[in-house]
Amino acid sequence: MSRKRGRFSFVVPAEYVDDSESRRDGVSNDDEVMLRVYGCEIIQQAGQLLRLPQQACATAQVIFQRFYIKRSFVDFKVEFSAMAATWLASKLEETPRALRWILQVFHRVDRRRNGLPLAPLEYHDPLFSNWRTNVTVTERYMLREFGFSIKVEHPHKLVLVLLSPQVLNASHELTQEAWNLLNDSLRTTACVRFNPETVACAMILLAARRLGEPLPESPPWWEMFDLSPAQLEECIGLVNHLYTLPRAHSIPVWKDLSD
Amino acid sequence: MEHYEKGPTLGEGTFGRVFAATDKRTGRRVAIKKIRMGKAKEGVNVTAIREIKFLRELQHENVIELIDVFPHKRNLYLVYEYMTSDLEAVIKDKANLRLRVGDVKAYMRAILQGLAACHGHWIMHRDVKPNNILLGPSGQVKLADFGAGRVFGSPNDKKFTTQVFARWYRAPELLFDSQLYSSAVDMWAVGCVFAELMLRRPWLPGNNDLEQLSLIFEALGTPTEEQWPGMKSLPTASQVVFKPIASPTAASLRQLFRCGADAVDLLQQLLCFDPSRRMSAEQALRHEYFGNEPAATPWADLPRPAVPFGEEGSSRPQGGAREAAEAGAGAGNNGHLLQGVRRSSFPPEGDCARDATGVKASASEVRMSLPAEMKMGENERTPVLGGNGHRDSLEAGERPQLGSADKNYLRKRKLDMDRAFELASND
Repeated sequence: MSRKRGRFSFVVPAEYVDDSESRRDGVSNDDEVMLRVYGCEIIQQAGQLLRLPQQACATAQVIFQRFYIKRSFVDFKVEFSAMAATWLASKLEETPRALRWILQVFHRVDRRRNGLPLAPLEYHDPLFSNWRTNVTVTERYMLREFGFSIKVEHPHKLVLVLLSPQVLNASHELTQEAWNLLNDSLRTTACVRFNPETVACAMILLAARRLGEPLPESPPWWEMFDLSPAQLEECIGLVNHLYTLPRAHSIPVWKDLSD
Repeated sequence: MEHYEKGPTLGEGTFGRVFAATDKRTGRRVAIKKIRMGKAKEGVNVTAIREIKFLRELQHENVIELIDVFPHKRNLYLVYEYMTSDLEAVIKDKANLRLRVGDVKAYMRAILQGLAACHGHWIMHRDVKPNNILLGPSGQVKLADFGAGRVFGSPNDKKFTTQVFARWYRAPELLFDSQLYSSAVDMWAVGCVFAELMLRRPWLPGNNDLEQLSLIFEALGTPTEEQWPGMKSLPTASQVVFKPIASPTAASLRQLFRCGADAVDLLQQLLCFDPSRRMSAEQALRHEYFGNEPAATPWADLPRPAVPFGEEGSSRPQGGAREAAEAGAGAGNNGHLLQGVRRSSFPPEGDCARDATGVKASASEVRMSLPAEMKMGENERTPVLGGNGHRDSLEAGERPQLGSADKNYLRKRKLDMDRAFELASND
């Protein structure tokens, strides 16, 4: 009688990223990467201003990344999706924030990034109601696109376990470096291309390389998760590419059909 | 929506209407809960998100199956497997149903297995009560209504609300306003349900939190420092001084519940005052009670309630009740219900409650000395049910509901940010 549907996972092959919905709408690969990085950066900044726990920020970034696998940057404005993802994640992680706070904070982040004078978003500002409508609509689209399977698993706890004294016994610096890389990896499509185990192992490898710290090689410790070295290298490549990019900014590819 | 043929309304839930339906593709009977998500202010309801998240995560034979979720117009529809009845109907239907020891055992095992699965996923149910325990058409027992559920055990846990559970099933640490608690609160409620299954009436039906506490202490003895170390450190525990009452002996409980020593031992361990020593679901399943004769009844042989839900003298909408009864007759099965169905409001205002308290007052009294801030006279007596007293007058249709205080709790959590921000968004 017991039903088994397995753990929910959202992992797509490379075609979904290379031939994404945005690409079909004429957004170039570089632009899409830039928009993804930009969206995740503003989620992270707003999350800190909102005093959300890092777990909620990470969940929001994963939701954001997943959403743009299914939908295009032309149909959904990157800022609205970032706000909706933050809002949804705050509810999922039991640290709810009111929508008006989320709008306020994103407004502030936006002005700050563009070097504009900081001013609160007035409640009677037409922009406020415009944003509010757009964000609630986007949230509903998100839930629908995910088929209401909204569980997100993060690689962070795996990294802590793997680097603990009982397993790899890594130094504090290595743990911190791997942790930082993990948070940065959320800006790439690593979280939708690979399962959490792969991301965790890849980031540990990358951290060890960056710090020049040796890890036991034989037998390869990542084999406990049944991962191929090619996958790990691909994941590492994604994150390394992130550090070659210029500062992220918004690109106006969104077409507002409501006008 | 186009895949489902809408049937009769089964009831009004706390946040939407529940109706029966048939899946046109498979012919399967389902129950659909409709949740409004129209208000732009809140977006998709947190309760709905919790329920979806938990039910998608929990796949267990004793947890209700969430078949599908879909948005339609401005509503969200949750599709559940169709359940015919609930445990409350079984307990109340004293005229037609006799619960044997094996039946109670089967119910308890199913509830505990369901909860063990939840707790294994670090989820607290937080609203365990007989009408959230649903019975399927072939007798399956399933937990439902995870809208109050919550993940626990994270080191980041701040504060939980204490306004969970219907009062009669609320653990003493909740009544003392403890804001950090664990799965043990569910286990207390299971103990109360166990007692209710054996007694066929709610065992500790308090009308307010204070009375609830005195009922608990009257029935189980006032906890000593030894029984519950740390009780005094709970927020409101020092505001009231309860008269010391000795714990009941196993023999007196056996007399009250007319059951074996193993059942009393299980009950006492489930209703242990100290949450850290209270039995867990896993431990309870290993209790000798489940190994002893008579064995638990198989699902198919469990008694089914004969009274349709519409005829319980409830406050359900008349039309809905009639429709449900008709549909039930057509299907050859009278029971109808879905989770979250509100049948009555709380607190009860009827005379029967007052009568009951009057009788009790003469039978047994607890005098409590209250500090001034409790706003009760020094001599005011809170009447309390004696350990063996019967309370038949307080029977039907007065079950407390889970309040919506959870929402208030969320509303209270304001962010402190720039003053200018605060002014700008004072809507």
